[in-house]
Amino acid sequence: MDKEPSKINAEFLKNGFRKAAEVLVAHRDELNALNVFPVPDGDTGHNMSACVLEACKTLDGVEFDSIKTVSKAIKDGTLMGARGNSGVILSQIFSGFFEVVIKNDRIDIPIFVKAINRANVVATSAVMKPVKGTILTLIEDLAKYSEKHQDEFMDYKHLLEMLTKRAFRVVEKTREMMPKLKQAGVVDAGAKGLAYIVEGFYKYAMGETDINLEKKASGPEMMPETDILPEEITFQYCTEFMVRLFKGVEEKDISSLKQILDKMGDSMVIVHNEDILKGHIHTDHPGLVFEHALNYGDIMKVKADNMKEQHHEVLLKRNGEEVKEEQPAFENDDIDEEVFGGENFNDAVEEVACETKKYAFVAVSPGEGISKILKEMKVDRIVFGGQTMNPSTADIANAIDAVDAETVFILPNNSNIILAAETAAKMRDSEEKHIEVIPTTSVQQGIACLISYVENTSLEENIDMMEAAKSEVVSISVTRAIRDSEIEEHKIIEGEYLFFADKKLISHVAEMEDCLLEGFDGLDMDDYEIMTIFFGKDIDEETVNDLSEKLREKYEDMEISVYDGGQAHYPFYISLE
Amino acid sequence: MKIVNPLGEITININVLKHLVYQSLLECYGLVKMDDVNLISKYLGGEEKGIHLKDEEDGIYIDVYPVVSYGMKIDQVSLNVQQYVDYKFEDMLGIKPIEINVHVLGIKLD
Repeated sequence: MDKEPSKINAEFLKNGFRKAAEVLVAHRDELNALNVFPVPDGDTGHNMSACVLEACKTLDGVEFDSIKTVSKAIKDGTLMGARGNSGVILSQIFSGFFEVVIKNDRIDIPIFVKAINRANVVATSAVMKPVKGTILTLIEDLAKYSEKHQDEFMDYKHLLEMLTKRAFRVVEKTREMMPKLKQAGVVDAGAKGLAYIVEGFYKYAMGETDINLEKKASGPEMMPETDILPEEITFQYCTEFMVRLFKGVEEKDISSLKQILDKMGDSMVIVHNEDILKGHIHTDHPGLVFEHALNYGDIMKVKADNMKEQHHEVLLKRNGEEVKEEQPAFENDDIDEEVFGGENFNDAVEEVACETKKYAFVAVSPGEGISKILKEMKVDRIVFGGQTMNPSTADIANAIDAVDAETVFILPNNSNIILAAETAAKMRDSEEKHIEVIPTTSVQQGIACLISYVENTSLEENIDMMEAAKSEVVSISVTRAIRDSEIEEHKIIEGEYLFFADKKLISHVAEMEDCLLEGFDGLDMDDYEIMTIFFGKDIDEETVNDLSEKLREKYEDMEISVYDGGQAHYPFYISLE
Repeated sequence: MKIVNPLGEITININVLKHLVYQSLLECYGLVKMDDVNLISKYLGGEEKGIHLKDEEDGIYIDVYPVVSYGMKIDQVSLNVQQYVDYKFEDMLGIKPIEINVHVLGIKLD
């Protein structure tokens, strides 16, 4: 490469592309969160990454590096890996670009510019009516820009630098170009992805030559995603009631009840015969529904099922998990204790009692056990999601809508979810309802924040206290490597247990127990007093008990407590305080 | 298409639905034009040729006959068409079509 620094050779293409893939993959979740067009399904990041990663695989198979072989590998790889709209468009961009490149032995600036222009032509020719403010807008702009300023570029580094700058500027403009993006207050995900790719090439040109595609892949991110989204459920509680009508209640009274209830949810059905009225509605406020019904008669029976929980069970069922038995149906004649005294009913009552609270919490939880713990700690809404199932911005926004408080705190509990949480907060923040995101990167931090929260204190003080609590706790996560990889000079072998303390790898050993003990040895255990262990769903209690016994023996002065967290992929989440 | 509610009923002409599908197809990446199996509409059909809608009792069935640009992953492009039409339909009508069948009738070279 150094022989003729003003030109690009095969090695540059190959490694530059891999660097671009790295940058893109690193921003995968951000791109997913931005995805609102054409179909807001939150997969743009995944699709684009899949596309470039497939090409990286074909690149690995290239034995002799020449412009021809490398170009062909990228062209074929991106085509084969194309998934979704953004993936297909990306493959066309590369296809056009390398169509020009492949014909040349060395690439100088005029050829590079020609290649970008060809990429533009190929990509935009495949749509009948291009929509403004997409990845196509960006490639078109880059093509025109590079052609216009062709003579001003000193060398390819300068060219890539200018293109990167220009790309991010155009990405910002997409917000204004498409009404849909403007509404959601985001930039176009596909365009931003392409900008990251250009940035990747630029970074490589500037000498950032170490490429680590495995860095992200060492966690379990590559697992399949669930395909039903919780956001499909608009109202959370399936609410049913039966009322013995007061004497003198007339048809028009019932239609007025219908009108009131209709505003509170959907799927409403109200039927009545002479003196009994039966109603069904999906709502977020079952308690209020019951209250209204009380105005017309004596309640005989009520029921409120949390449909999100049911949905969650469906997900578990898919994973082959055992699910607890279904709640008794409404038709059951004897009035079941569970129906009346169940958690849902209590929730409903609580919501009536304190209509507008001062503070409310929305937290993201990766497992059932943790959800339960969070609920006990006064979290008002749980959004289910974790390492492999990042909740969408809409999920979080829905959760915010469902709580009634002056200030809503959001605990994302995962670094990949912070962005979605912040976007949701921006969308929903208003005078009446202030939204505050506490950027917690782990469940342990989230719990520490909840402990430090004081109800009757000012907002600022609470934020300060939570931020302080967040930084005091050490979050440890233990997981298994699903492939060979390298993290910070440690060579990881597939199947090894990895012990991370605040995202830093402390130990990696084949045996779980050794891994934990060795991991704790790597920390200054004298500094901490409390250890809290949340074990995952893939681990049985006996192992946990054995382990906690050993830990208690080893760290006598420490207060150790163990909870069932129920999280997937991570056998242990541990916090040290 | 008919939507019945307590206040009365709403009917949407099939041509409106056709136009809706047409507008969505225009925005689908990878399609270059529409074609048709029906010879009359193939040569005489207006801008909405290649879009067939059946308004059955249980819902709407859609068949589209596009020509795809060469060099694409055709299955992905078709899947994108299905997803986009489905999404647009629900977005604008509140109803999902029962089926969206994509029949790729040709590939267009540059």
